Amino acid sequence: MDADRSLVDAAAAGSRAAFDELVLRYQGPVTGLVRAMGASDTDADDLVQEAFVRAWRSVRRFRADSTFRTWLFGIAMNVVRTHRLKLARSRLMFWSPAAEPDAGSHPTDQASVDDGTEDAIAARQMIDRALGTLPEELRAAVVLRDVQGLDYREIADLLDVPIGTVESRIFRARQRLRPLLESMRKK
Amino acid sequence: MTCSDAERVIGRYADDPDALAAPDRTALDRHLAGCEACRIRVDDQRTVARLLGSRPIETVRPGFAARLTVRLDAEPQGILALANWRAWTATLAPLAAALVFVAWSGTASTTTVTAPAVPAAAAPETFAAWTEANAGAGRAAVFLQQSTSDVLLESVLTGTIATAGGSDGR
Repeated sequence: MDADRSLVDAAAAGSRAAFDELVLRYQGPVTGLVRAMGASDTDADDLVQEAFVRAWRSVRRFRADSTFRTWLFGIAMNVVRTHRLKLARSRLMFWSPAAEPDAGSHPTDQASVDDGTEDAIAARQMIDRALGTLPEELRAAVVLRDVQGLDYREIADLLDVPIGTVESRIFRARQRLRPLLESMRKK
Repeated sequence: MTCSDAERVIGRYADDPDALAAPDRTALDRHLAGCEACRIRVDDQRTVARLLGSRPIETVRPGFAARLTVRLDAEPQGILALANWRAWTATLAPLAAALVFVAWSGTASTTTVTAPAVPAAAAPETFAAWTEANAGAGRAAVFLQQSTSDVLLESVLTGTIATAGGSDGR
């Protein structure tokens, strides 16, 4: 049973208060998802907003085939994908080495981490850099599983691939990440 | 079970051995008992999953709720949502594309049927012939022609300047 069901039903009936409650529940996880998928700190704010706006527009059409969380994460993943395509196109047109972003090193990063400790910032940056080396399909699967805690069935539904494909992607992603996270492992 | 077969289920086994179907679980346990490389893989999978799970969580930036509220308030509701062009244009896009195609097809076929036949090429009217025909009438003529410089030069040199399209240019 989807724990969000009553709120989703109310939001679908037009209740902004119910939708605001859903925003409150999921703004953190959605922010974590778009960041782990490679969005910079400043872009993440806009992307998370866009995901919630799209969710609000279409919540009336939400069907209980999946949980609200899975559905919302699917919207957020699409928003990130669209944003990445736009970035790729603009980089093709205006790319310069000085403008190349350095993942995880945005000046506002420090202000956005809630615990604020240098160790936490360093750990997150190391993980994000390692995730950034993965092809998008592997990154999406392992982020949804290990960062967001979705189960294999939910990931398969969200990515619209067979569950065996999800298992394979998660296995390969973790194998690739292991040497990159070696220094964290020793701590 | 081979190492290659094991790879298919090792990730899930590392997360929760009980999540595997009984036959897979039995086969993998038997394989792991005799394969150190795959036992290391299981450990690696668990380690990476644990490290990723420890990724510090970001909070949203200050003022996020207020910014989102402004955007949500701007979204039309109820009957007004019909005015949301994003919603209905997305729905109607295939129909619009089909209409454009049909319209284009109709225009193309109409053009084919009704296009006027190209008149047979008239003999070029030369400056000399026109002057001879109008001799004594006290009329002068200026011949205009859209032409490349090469054609114009050739016309001047040969004395055969073709008209650009009838008497309008005179």
